[in-house]
Amino acid sequence: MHQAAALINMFWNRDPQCHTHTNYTGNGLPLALKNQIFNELFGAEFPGSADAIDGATPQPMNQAKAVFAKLSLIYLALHNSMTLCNYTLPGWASPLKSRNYRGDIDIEAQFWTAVTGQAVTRADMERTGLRILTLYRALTALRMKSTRAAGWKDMRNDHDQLPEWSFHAHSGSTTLDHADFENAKDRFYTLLGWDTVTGLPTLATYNALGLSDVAAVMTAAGLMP
Amino acid sequence: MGMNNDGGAGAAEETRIEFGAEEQAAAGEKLAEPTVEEIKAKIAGKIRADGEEHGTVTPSEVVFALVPDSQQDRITAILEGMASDDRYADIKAVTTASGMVFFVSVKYIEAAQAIEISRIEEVKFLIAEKVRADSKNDLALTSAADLHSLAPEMEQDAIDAILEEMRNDDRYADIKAVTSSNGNVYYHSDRHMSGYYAVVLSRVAAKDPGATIAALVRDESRIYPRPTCVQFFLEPMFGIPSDDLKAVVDGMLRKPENGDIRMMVHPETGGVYLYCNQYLNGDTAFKMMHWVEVVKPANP
Repeated sequence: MHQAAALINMFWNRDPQCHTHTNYTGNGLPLALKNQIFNELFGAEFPGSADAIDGATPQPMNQAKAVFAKLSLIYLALHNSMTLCNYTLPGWASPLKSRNYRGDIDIEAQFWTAVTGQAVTRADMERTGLRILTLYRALTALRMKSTRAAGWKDMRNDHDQLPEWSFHAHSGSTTLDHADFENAKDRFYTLLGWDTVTGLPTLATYNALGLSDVAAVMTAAGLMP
Repeated sequence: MGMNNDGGAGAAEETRIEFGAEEQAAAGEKLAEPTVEEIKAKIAGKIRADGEEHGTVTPSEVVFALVPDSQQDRITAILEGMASDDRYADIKAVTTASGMVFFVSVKYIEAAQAIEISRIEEVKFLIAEKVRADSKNDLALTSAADLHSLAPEMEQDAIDAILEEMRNDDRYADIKAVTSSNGNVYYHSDRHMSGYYAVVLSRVAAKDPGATIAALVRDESRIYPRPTCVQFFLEPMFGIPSDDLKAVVDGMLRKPENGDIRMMVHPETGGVYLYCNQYLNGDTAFKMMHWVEVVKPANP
């Protein structure tokens, strides 16, 4: 899971204040049950079953962890936008034995529908979260470019970095591996529809998310992969 | 690029369907009330079937449940009517010493046997009520000796046979057994006490607090995984006086069989934690301890 946390951290420019992933990993359920529930909910995105959350011994990057990072960021974006508490949501799991410890993953969609009267599905909400993240990515790239040389568009190596000490053993935290982290980025970018060389959203992604106007700005700025 | 929709949506729909079904039933057609004769026939049919097919008597609450809510106040009259009706001459009632009532068809079970069976059913009920009360009211296990005192006229083998029958009886599906490390068997109701809590209590019952601590630390390191704060063992369930805790932990750590249990002391807070190095390495255990001791309180 440390790779998911690293991906979340690299995405932002300061403390991500993302609690989606820590809410879930810290929900108090036994590890096996946490992974079982996560696999039930989101396993279609990583067929072949892989645990998103490591036990005591850190494991190499896998697709489940990339999905976990993606969803963590999507729901952070949604909660920030909806002024919902990212410290307690999403409700993927429940402490209730009567619910077999399964939560309700439709809470955000139900909330939106109840308050606005606009009927939305979870898929609708997640797409909106992805739009928010992609727009934020574009804004970040534009800001980075403003301080870089002409022709720059390397978010992957220039922005998506972590301090070198993260890759060396230190007490109280899990050590990252350089190659494993690059593997994490590849998976993460692919899931989000970003170019794996530059770390920038592709034209196809902008268009699919209804952000063609943003694509035009990015193209004009030389930030289209 | 959406999520797997099945688990959550299915669960939500199932909840809504059940809730909706209740509303629909309430708004649905009202079924015609059965006649008294139909009720009598239904009662007799149940009692006879229990006797013929299962060789058992029918508890009074089962009979009463066959009477519609609207006619519960007429149960006595209905049963008295059956007693004086030749068509139901085989239907008899057995009242136990404690006042429990069972119904039997003497066409299939002789009177003497019915009395014996009724006593067994009574003991089952008393056992279940005792275990449930202990679990719910006292958060305590029920010992085999406690159960035997409910039927002092019976030998232990007979009690054991009754307990075995209860294991396969849906009415007593919540009554579970747990065996302590010293071989003693205890009982609890999982309606009121989780299986793991019962396991821990059974360890406490063995009166080896060091072993109890070591076992729980191993469990926590394996299942969650997480280290265990020693303060946890001051909970009343463990029965360890606060003045004795350090000595108990130190003594436990000195035993060779507990070589996998490690202790950590947080450098800032002094919090003392234990973990099992079969399941947790020191760095990970420290990180988790640090989260509980420092990071979590700093992020309310």
